[in-house]
Amino acid sequence: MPAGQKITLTVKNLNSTPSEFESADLNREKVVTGGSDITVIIGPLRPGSYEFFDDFSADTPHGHIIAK
Amino acid sequence: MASCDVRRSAPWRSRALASLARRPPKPISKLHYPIIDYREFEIEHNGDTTLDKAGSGKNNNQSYTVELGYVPFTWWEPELEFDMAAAPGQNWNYNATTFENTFQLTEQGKYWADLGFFAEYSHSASRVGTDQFNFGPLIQKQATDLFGLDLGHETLHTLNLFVSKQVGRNRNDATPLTVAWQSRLMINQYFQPGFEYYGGISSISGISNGSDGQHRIGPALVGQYNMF
Repeated sequence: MPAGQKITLTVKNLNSTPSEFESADLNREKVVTGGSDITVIIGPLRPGSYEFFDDFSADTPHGHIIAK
Repeated sequence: MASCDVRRSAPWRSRALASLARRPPKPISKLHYPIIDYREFEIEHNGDTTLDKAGSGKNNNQSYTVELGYVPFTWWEPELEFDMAAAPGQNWNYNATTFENTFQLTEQGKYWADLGFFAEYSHSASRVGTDQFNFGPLIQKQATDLFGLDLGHETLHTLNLFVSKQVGRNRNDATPLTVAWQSRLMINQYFQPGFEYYGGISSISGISNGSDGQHRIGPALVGQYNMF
């Protein structure tokens, strides 16, 4: 995503059980119920890499949002 | 000879209890945030103790709270708080049961600042104590710089503005306004240093509540570690 801009992220949970989109780097924590989606507004961000993960599934690989 | 004239001592006792009931509201010493975590179950413990000259009456004034909360909706967090306190040289007392409510009014990050509203009702455990309402806005701003100064990390600023009102027969009719402010540097999730300020006006209604308007400022350290 472009650095210095605010964007709206859509997070879709394709599972039947709830998940939680969490990122300490972005200061965001939001539950996504099973089979639904949520929006998360982030930014403006400095250039860099911002880690996120599913707090309800610790063994799921973490993702990164790259702002540049 | 030990005998107690109950008739002579009773007025002293009732005056002391009435004085206790009309004490100014306890100053707020905890910051509230406008962002809530849907489906979160919370157990929280807060403690507060004063350090002052021995014999001043202000040393070792202790208060502790235990809170239980659950977030049933994305916009509302109710909590039940149990308050205990011990004045200097006195035994512990169970002070009050408080029902707290935090309302998240805006989606995080959508507007210039995040907005919430806080309202609580505190029921005194003492028959001569007073119940109290506290309510007011919660405002939070996450910024990439601080008044144009680039600190290398995001900063988070939170403001609480609360109005208090006592209710009941022994109430104090003053309407204090309390302010809580926190600014911190979001270095990483484990280490976020900053400062907090607590203060306010003893009454916005023109009726004094007898307090001298405390102002407190000091360092704050916030961090989070996921245990599960």
